[in-house]
Amino acid sequence: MGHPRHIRARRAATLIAAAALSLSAWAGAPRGKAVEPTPGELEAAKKIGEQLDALIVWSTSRVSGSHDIWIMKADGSDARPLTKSDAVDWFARFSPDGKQVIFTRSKAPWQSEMNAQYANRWDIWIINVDGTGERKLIPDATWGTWTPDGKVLFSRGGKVFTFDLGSSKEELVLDGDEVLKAGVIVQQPQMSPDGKYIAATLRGRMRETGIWSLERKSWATVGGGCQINWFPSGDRMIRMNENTGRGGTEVFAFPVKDGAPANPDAPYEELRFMDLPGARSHEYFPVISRNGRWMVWCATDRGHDHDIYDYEVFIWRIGSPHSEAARLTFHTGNDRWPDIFVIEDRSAPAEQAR
Amino acid sequence: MTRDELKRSRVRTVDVAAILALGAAVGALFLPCAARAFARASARSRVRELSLGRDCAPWRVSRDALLGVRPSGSELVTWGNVGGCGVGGTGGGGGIRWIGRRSGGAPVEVELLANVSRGEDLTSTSTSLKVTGDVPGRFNLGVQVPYVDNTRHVDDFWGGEADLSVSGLGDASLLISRKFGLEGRTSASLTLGIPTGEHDVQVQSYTLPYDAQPGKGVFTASLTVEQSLNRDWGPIIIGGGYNYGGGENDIENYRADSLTGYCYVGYRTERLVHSVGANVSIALGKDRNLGNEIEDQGAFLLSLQYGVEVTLTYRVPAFFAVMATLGEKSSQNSAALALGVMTFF
Repeated sequence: MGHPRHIRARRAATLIAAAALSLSAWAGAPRGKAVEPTPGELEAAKKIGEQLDALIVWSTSRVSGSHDIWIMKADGSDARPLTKSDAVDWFARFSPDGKQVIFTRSKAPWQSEMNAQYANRWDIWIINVDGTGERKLIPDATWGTWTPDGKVLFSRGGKVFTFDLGSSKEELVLDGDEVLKAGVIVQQPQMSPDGKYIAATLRGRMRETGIWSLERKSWATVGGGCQINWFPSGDRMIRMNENTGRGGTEVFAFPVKDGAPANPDAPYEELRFMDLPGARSHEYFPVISRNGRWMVWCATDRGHDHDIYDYEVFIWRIGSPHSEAARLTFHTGNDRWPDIFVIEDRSAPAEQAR
Repeated sequence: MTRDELKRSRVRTVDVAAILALGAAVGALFLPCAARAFARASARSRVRELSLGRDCAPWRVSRDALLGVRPSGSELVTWGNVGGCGVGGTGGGGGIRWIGRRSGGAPVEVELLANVSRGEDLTSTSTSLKVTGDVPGRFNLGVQVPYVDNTRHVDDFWGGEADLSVSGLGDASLLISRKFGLEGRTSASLTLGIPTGEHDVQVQSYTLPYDAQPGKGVFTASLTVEQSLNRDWGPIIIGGGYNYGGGENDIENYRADSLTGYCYVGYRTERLVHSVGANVSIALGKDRNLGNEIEDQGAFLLSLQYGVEVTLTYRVPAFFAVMATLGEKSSQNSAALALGVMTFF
């Protein structure tokens, strides 16, 4: 004889609650495992090493399921951890002289990148590239990047500040809540090489990429997508575009003039900059080297979430065929947000891609 | 908590998640079977209650003779991915739409969605296997094949009531969609229904009602256009379209053309994507069964859906949804439940 209906209902509710609790307790990215590169991938990475002496930092979950900052050479060799914490370390950026790295660290053992909009869950830290001197630099801050004059540009929700490492003084340079829209979130602010503009991705109450003119105090919309960034020449930019390209994303590049796209009506074909051939073609996190000749980014062959899926680090000599891009990491854990510092570039200048 | 303890804790939770994922997958496979068994038991019970005449042979459904059923719920729901920094959705079998963390990144996706719906006279289960792939030119192509099982209550089965069951292949669908605009937020989808399911199944020379037939017996088509709006917390998907019922088939069954409008809103957390949605369908005429117009059929249907996608493993997300359909006439009301799993290649 079965149990009365209300008992069965109670048991079902208990089971559902237990399942929900299990899910809520389940957090973190996969640690994954190392995979063997193919001979072709090894050869491509080796060719990079012959042309370029550089360091690449990136964030990986391979050790603990949260993320640490790792560092490697431009051909993917000599990969080693730069940070070792129980928190989530990500968005590492080399200082202009390449001697230090700033990165964002979570206050809790696990924070999803989806929570990057909550500045009070993160701090910006700094560490020397030899692994010494790790210290908290800016509390309650995210998306730290370097300005041309060696300050740190970072965001707190809808506000963007500079931080002077010498005086530890913060200066508000963009109040998005005031001049854009209340409730806006400013992500990945990047100051132009001439120091006149800030490119940023907007989320929250606005959802677009654009450029803020520090002189004119005006916002120029670039378009959709995210992760907008400058070429070191300052007359060109890249950004991620979604829903186009193989794997659902591709990198766009476009000229800019006076803090706005030079050709706002540029057709799709002119904007395409990098779309990896093959299955692993869901690209994100692109950044251009300071000499303007290399791009590093990550791509996955399935899924989207930036801090969970199997993204791998790639490098490409700008202007060369897309097929010559080299994969540098071989691990099923999550690898994201690389940055590159060029020490010596022996490559022949390639014709600039459109 | 030390780092080692943290690691051990994660291993334990991953074990739990793996068990839940396995349970969801097994459930998706066996849900239709369980529903079918339930429906058969119910049918046998009702048949036993029939008072058949002495010269009337006991009714028995021949499984060999009865194949297929049409998916229940909305016809030819729209489908397609919504990519980018958010979540997206796809249509599934039987009117339930999968809204979840699916946002591209893989050339080929395989989705298995089991669906059980129960209306006044019709209990329908379907398990749809859908394979879709991106092709150059911003197109996405796919094929969807449903395996279905229907149990239909009829009042006029040779003088008495009966519950008649059929199962087998339903009408397959070819799916073509293309994204438009620089951000690809607008998409158009064409779904072609192919009459692969039986449309003239008889039980002891009694022709099953048109809505219980495995297939429609004619080619059908649906053209939809939709717009997706990404927000930090999830997507908003708004769309509408025209459904061509295929005209009258060779046994004079007819499904009226219809207009559809829908809106889905997703809300994502780290591991879950909750979604709610509404689908309104307006029939542009009345259906016909064996040439007879269906009297008790209203023009309007409203379907309300709640779904939750669970990222149990990174390669096999699972989806659970419930849907209530309210018709202009009470006889059109139904409830549905769906369970699905998906993987990428």
